[in-house]
Amino acid sequence: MADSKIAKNKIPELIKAVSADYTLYGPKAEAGIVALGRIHSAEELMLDYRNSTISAKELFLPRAEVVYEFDGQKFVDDKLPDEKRVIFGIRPCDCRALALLDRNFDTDEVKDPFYVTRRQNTIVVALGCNQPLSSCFCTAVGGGPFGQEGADVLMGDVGDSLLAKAITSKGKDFLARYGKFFSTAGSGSWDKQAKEARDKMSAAPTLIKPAFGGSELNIENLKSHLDNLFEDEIWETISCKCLGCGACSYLCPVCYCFDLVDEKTASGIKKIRTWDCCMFSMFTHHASGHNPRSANFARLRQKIMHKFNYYTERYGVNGCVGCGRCIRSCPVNLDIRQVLEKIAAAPSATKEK
Amino acid sequence: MTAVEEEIRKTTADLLAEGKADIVIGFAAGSLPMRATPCFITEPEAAQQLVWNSYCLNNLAVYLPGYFVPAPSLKEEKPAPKVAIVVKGCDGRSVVGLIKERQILRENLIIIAAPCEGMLDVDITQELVGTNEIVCAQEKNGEVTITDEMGKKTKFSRKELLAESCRFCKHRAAPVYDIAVGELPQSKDALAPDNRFEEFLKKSSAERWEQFSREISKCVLCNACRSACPNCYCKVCFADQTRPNWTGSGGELRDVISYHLGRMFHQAGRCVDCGACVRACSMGVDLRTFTYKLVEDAGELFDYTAGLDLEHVPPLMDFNASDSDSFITEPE
Amino acid sequence: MPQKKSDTIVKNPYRPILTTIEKITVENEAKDLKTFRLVFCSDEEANDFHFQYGQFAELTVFGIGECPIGIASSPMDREFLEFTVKRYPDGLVTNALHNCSVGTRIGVRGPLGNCFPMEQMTGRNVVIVGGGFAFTTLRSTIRYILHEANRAKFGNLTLVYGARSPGELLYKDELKEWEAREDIETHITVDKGDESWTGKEGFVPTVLEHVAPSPKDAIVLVCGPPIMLKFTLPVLTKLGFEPGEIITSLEMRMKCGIGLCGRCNIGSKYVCRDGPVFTYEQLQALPAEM
Repeated sequence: MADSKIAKNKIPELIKAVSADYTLYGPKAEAGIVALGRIHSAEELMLDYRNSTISAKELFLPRAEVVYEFDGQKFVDDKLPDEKRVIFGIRPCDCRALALLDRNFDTDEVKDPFYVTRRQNTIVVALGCNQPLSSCFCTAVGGGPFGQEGADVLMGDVGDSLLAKAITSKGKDFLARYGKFFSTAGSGSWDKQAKEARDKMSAAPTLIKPAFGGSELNIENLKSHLDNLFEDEIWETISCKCLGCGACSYLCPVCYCFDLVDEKTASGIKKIRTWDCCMFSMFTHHASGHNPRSANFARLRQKIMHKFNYYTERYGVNGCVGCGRCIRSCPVNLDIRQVLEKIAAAPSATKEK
Repeated sequence: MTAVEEEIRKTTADLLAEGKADIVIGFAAGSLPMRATPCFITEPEAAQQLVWNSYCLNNLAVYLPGYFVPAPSLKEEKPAPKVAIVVKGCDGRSVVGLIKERQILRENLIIIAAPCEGMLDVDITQELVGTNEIVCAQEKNGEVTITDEMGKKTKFSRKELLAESCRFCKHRAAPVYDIAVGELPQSKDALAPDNRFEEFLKKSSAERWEQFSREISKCVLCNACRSACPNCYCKVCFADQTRPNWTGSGGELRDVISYHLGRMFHQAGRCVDCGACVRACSMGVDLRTFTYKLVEDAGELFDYTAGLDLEHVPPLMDFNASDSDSFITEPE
Repeated sequence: MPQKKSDTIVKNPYRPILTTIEKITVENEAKDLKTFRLVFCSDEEANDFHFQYGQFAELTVFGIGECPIGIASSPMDREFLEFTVKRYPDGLVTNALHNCSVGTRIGVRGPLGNCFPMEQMTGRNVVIVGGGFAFTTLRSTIRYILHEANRAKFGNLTLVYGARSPGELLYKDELKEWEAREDIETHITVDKGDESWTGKEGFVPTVLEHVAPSPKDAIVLVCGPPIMLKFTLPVLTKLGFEPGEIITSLEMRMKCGIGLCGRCNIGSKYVCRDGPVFTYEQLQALPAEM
């Protein structure tokens, strides 16, 4: 398949054409942050950004959504989110996060119809990263600045134009449909761009490399370290400064724990699914008053274990894409890379159970 | 390393070595540029980790109630530890407030007051620098030189980069302390003007409500503001109670508003305007314009400023026959 | 595998089935344990609902919330579902449920979770040890085994069940019926009796040790409060039961009940989906987090 490219000055036309067929979402400046919101015109779209504050998770697992309505006698018909959407310009880490979320919400045994419908009805057009932030560590957890997982189309910024490559058949159809805005690009330019970006990541100092002896986290090693560390005192030391505020989980593109609450309305009741966080003190609080995770360190342990042990055990991949939002947003600068480094260095990690 | 930093490290090592403190709470170097991170020292040798610089922004008092209020845990209950804490003006005032509200045992606490001329905020700086990430910052004579990832250097005056709450802070020295390190600031003048708050004061009730609703609608109820605030030490926040269910958690604007109104008014006469809530907020909600209004109101109506001494009783803990009741006699 | 309703894309797993409360029985003296008999509003949904003993369902009190409760009726009872619910002083839903009257609409999401190991139990002697109000899914199991269509599939059936006092025993009428039967060996005990109590007195682990069921060709189901489990498990080990033959059912705070929301895990296992039934051997492999 020949790679395509689109001149940057043609992007407004592309946006206009896509907006006529789909509801378009992308990065935009909004009240002091970069949000992933509705794009009504090309001027709103901001492709010259590092990463959005809130991740693409919000577009598939909204912060609050109604999962059913009951009027006292019968249920109101389920309305599945059938909006046909294009998300334009999100980063490969956020795309990879979608692929990781799929493992939880779209299985053979049980599917979440709201999430699955949104995934089916959305085309994801990603934009690769030419310049990592100091908090980025996607390559250490199995991703990369030009990673393809979770994207339908992947684009790369080469200055005056964007390269574009179809990853899935959905992406192929998208590029074909709007083919008149694209021209062919030499296949060499794509590889060059991707390699340059990856080299930058390798050169960037990231805390995890020395700890795990290589540029990538050895998932199996990390999991087996954690297997032996459940009872360790390391969690109390690590969690000293953690406020249990939950900002990390809310901004994390993979964290998905949710709550189901009832809300009364004038005409009946609504059941609402909302974001929740294992770091909140009431998360595992039983009606009897018992709380298996009453201590802060137990909750931080759960968060790390869930991402790097339990998720790996259930789905074969860990639950982190290395986007660094948690590192930037943590009010006390609790750096997950430092946590993983401490875990790797913990002495009891090498003991036999 | 500065003289103050050295003195903090020595004081910490001595306190621990002499058994006068079991743990010292201070700051260590952060993992990102222009950040420092809270640090808990239990061994004299580890005191070398402590720093004192322009990024020691967090309100460390938030950690104190946890040491003195027994929490159910997997380990057996231990006697209350002796805790030393390095504070500036704002967290020093928080400590005073928590002592008065009986959340800290004064006799188990050693307050180390350190000098503060306002802390720099990396987010404000990054906004001024633009898209290129800040790599390092160097300070000299009231000027800060920022180097970005492209090697470009920009000079700013210190004032421009101050955290918002630091700009108009009038109490930069801890009012109550056991040990003083360096020269504690004496001036009670603000470091920079407070334009945004002045703008808010000029607005009518309807306009203020509009501004409040608009800001608050950005909130995603992550509760970071509550977790970062030293005054929010309630075991179960009113917003989390299910019986009765004071506010819903479904994300309706009315519930987000009622949570914030409740939380802010619970702070009346207690808030020291440290800005921890604003900096913790993951969505950039401007909480401070509203919380500071309550700080001013407490001053006007009850002649009270939070955390200045151990004697005056906070307005929410007291009643006085001369308290203003104009809200009854002269409603708007 | 327990039969679940088909999880095709159009089915909304968060939406409950409608039932009405047909009957409420106050089970204990303290009046904080009630059995709710629910009948489906739709015949089709009633016919589609198949469960195994040990499974649970999420009960919805509309406008208040849901709580996960073990199914206490037998899979052989096709006309209704029964749930025995304890009212907790701070429990939002359990309080609301206890305030409901006959005729109230209740939502049922289920059946959820795994079940007691039917295959492992068939053809063997079954020992059932229950304490307090953790007895509900055990009652479902006993009713199933005792049903004439099923009894022959199992060996000896031994029951040790205890409560704090005579007034706190659940299913009192049924207990009397079982005591009169030949095909089940019943040992009912209370921690402390009253003037009218003529039965055994003693803690469940003590009585169990005295009854000393043989581990040969046997499997034991044990459910009870943590303090009872703490002392019962050593007794079972002493009697010779292997960890793989000691089966228990766990509780955890739950929300979705289908393994999606990430709340009820112990280690990598979700109590709502990989459990709530676990063997003691499986429990030993899980992190100590209960």
